[in-house]
Amino acid sequence: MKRLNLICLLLPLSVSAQDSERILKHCASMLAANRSAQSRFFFGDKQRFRSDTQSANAQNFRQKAFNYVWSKEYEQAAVWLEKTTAVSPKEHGIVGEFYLAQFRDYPRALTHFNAYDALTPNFDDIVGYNPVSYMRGLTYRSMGNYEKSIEQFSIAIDPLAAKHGDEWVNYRHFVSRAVSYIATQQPEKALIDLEKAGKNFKRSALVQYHRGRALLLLNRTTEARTAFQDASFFFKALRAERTGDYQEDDFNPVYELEIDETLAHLKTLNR
Amino acid sequence: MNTAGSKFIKSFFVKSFQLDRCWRCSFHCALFILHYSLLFAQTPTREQLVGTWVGVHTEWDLDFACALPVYIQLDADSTYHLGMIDGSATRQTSTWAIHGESVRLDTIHYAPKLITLKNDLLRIGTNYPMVFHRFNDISLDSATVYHQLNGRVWQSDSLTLSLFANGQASLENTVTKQRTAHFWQLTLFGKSIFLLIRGNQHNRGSGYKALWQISNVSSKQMQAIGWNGCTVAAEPFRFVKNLSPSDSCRPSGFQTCDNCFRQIWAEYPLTRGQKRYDIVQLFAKYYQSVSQTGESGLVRVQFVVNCEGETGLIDINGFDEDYCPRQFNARITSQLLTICREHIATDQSIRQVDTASDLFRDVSISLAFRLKDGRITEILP
Repeated sequence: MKRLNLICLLLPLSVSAQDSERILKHCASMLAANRSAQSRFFFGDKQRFRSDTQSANAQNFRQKAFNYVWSKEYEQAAVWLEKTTAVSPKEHGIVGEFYLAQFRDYPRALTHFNAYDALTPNFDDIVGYNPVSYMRGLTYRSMGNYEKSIEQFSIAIDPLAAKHGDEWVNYRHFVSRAVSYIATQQPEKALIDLEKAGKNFKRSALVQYHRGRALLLLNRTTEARTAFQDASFFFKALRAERTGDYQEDDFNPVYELEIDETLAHLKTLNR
Repeated sequence: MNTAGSKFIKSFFVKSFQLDRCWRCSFHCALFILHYSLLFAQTPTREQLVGTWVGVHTEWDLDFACALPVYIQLDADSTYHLGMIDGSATRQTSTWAIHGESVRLDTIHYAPKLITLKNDLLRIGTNYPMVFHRFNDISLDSATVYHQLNGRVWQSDSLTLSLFANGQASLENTVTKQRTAHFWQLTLFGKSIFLLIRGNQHNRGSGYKALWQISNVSSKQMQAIGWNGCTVAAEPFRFVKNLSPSDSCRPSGFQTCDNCFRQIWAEYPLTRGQKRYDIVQLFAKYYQSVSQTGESGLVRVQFVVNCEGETGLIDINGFDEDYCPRQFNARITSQLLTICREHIATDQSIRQVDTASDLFRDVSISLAFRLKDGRITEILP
């Protein structure tokens, strides 16, 4: 009997054979991944990004901060974000964006955007793909100061549109300003912006959703319902094109469930 | 990313085994010495590399490594084998060579100094180094080894190892008393016997926990060669007692199913994309604002739900508006925790490997709330 037990213990378990093949393949892949001193592929690693042997430059500091943000170690992340801007004032823009998008810390974001904009007076500096005025507009909007947000969005949008035309304006910028117009009960202005946004991206669920909201404010319920239906359609129709958990614009999130709930509510009103 | 990472990494960790006397103080030092030594490392010679190399672990980070249940065999005739120590998968066969300072294994050409050898420890790579030790075949009688180990408790200075007759095994840290439950198995490798600890408290899957080569065994003592949390050593274990039929194999507390579990890799993205809507709605519905001036800043709630739906490793931290650690009113933190426990941890879908399967995995949840005077103003992404 003991012999039988022994055989059972010594034999690889057939149930795990598939797992073992997978493990062996992964080990072979890891051997290949270690063929050179290439970049590490996991964020949050302590080995590379938290080592004190790194040189003190803005890029390394920013990477450290990013990795602390990734692991939600906010205390350390804030320390390294501030160090980044101390080493290089040009980093105020991206640090401001971190505080806005990741920390939702609007006062700090505004401080950094202002410091960034002050580096080159009379010029609307760019943060990533957006002018700093637009980023400031998003920050004011998040703080509930819609008037100031409209002012900042307009600084980002109007000169560009006047110089090159509306088609050169990022449609998300029009949407952002429209959201502020809706919040301040100015649906007509919102609709003008959303019209322009829709021309720049014709299949946008985001644009149609906010059109629906603006039209509702004007009591144009039938048109609003069509807009929400279009939003729902675009959302579902474009699902196949999307990878992962898609958002058209992280600063103006729209949720499929939210659209469908609004539509269901409108149907109830019409009964 | 974290999900893909965790899938990619189902190799194996020695978490409780790591907790010996050397571990806390010396692991970082040992790694530092190893890294420092790499500055002077030379590519080993062909003669030095010929032989069989048994996996120790993969070093994923400064404080995180997972057991490596494979071996590399480099023959003098340039034949290369990569296989599982327990022979549970078809081994891969190819060739190997040294060209100047570069080593080639199969089709992989390693840049100079990426394969180093020190004290019979072979390190491959620097990003996520894979560590192997030289295998010396020690002929033992498998029936004798099984007879001596089965149904007994063994103890080293750092670890208590209980090998149950039904195939279950527990590893208990002698200092912290933290105990994890697994399964054990003996396997033949060459003429040697390896003791494999794998699986979790529920089943034999979920990877390997530890691998030791038994170098000798008697009724009073056994010696096992493997990673002891500090280095590869022949660790002596003394016989403690026979297990009685009434002894059960249970973990001392919460245990993840995966033996190579790391929270940051297993994080479920509740606050991103479309899922964000649900989480915002959930807290809007259940959180009752605690109106109190000064209760402002961030509260971070982290916990793990294992593949069986058990919740553990709960961690709750507060930060003030300048990101300095602080404590929040317990009415705030306990509410947040209760909502997480009752409405998030119980959601089976977050543990599901994919919607079409009944396979479940361990997941880590991390939520951060921005509060203003006791009111949730934002849930951070």
